[in-house]
Amino acid sequence: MAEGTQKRLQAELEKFQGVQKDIQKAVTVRQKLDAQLNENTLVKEELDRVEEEAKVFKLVGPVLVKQDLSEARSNVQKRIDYINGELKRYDASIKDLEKKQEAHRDVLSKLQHQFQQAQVKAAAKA
Amino acid sequence: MDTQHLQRLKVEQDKALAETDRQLQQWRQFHSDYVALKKRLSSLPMRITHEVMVPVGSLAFMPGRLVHTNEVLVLLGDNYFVERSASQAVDIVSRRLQELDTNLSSLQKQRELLMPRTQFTSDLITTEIAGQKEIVEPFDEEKETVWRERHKEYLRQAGQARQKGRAACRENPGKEAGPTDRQVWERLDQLELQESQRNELEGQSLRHTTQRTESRRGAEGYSSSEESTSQEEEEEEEEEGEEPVGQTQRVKVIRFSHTTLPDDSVDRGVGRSESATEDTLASIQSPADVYRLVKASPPSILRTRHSHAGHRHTDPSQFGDGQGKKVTFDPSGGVTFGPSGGTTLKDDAGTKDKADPFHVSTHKAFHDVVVERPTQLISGCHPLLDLTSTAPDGIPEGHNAAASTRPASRFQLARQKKT
Repeated sequence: MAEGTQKRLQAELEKFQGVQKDIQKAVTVRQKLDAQLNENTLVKEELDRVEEEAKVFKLVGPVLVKQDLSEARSNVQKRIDYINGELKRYDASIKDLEKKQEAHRDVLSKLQHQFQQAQVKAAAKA
Repeated sequence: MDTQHLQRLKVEQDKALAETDRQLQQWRQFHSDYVALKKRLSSLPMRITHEVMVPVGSLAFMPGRLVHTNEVLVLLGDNYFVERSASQAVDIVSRRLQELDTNLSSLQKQRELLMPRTQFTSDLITTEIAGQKEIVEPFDEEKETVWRERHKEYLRQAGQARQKGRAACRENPGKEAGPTDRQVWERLDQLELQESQRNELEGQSLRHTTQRTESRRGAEGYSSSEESTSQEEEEEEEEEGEEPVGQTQRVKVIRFSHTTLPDDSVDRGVGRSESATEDTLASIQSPADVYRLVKASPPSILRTRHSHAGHRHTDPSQFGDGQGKKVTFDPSGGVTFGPSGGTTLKDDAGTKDKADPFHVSTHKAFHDVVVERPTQLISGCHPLLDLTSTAPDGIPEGHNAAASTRPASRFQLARQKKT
């Protein structure tokens, strides 16, 4: 009886830890996305300030490629939108994972309690 | 509060604080970089070309020339560059600096938030280590009232017991019923009496012993109030010279005899009796007697006319001994022993007797050689004649001699003009 509980306890614990790792990964990605969003917002602002004749370059590998201003602007805007979408997605994913974690925690605590009771019984018997 | 938990908390808080500090440092670095960049950008277009050392690879430089001094490629972010003029680049830099400043201020606030937290935790840890604990007393209203009632009861009982004890003592006064400390006091009284008998300071001792006994009575407290009144009655009887019979424990014998203190106010001549000196000399049995015989009033802090006069002219025939001490002879008040002239006010001389037990005026105990000051007085006025003119100053006669050798003060001159 005690062993069964113990096994169950361990399994549950592993699941809990897995969920926790997932959450952490998601959080890191989200942070990166957040930084990129800020950067692109800055770029957008600068590009908006720039006058129409200015030359815009894009660094592709070791090459600086000339780009059209309007093209650059739209590119940056698309990127911003994309990043926003990703951000929302990851936010939802994190929330989901957190809920799962809560559930796992509850189960774990219950199992622990059972385990302790079983141990006490065993000690009382012996 | 568990010390371990507190330590753990402190560790975490320190980590957070360190992180904030690191970030702060980084941002400050950026800030300084941008400022330098701004300076460079504003100085670039000042010249058409710049002679520079162009880095070639990572280890070599090559002398070259900066040609397009106004054209700057600015990295906007996300691999986007834009060609700008130097001044436009300066604008971009200024905007970035602004953002940096806001970031820095927010980081600073964060740090300020974290700091007191860590301090508080460390304080808790130190108090925990020192073993200080919060003293918590449970307060129960009902129990308090119950206790108060009981306390009143105890007090009442104690008071009653005291009353009974006092009544018992009053009925049996000769009984050895008192506490040990009373016996100790009585022993002390006896010892004091012995001491005072040896001492010749009659007036003082009488006063002091009565004071002492009274103060002791006060110290003994309420428990002996009844007995003390009875003791006072005994003492009154004793002072009259009788000793109550049968009360051996609490008898306080006070013996005193009167000495005829020399009257200062009466005889004020230069030729004071020297025989008295011999008598009093013989009666010196303790250092205190010396004080009595010699008027050793402490040097006055009042600024007198002859405050620095150590020597006074006197009749050398008066003194035979060659002790060589400094003595000021004051025909009005006697011999003053001290560096400054005695400020014996003639008006108070009579009262001084009672006030100052050390004031012995005419029994000149010192026979010294007095250094005479060359003065004009010897042919001139009699010291006594100047009494009236100098009395208000409190300076003994003969001041004229001393004053004449010194520059006279304004007031003295004014006074002399008047008289």
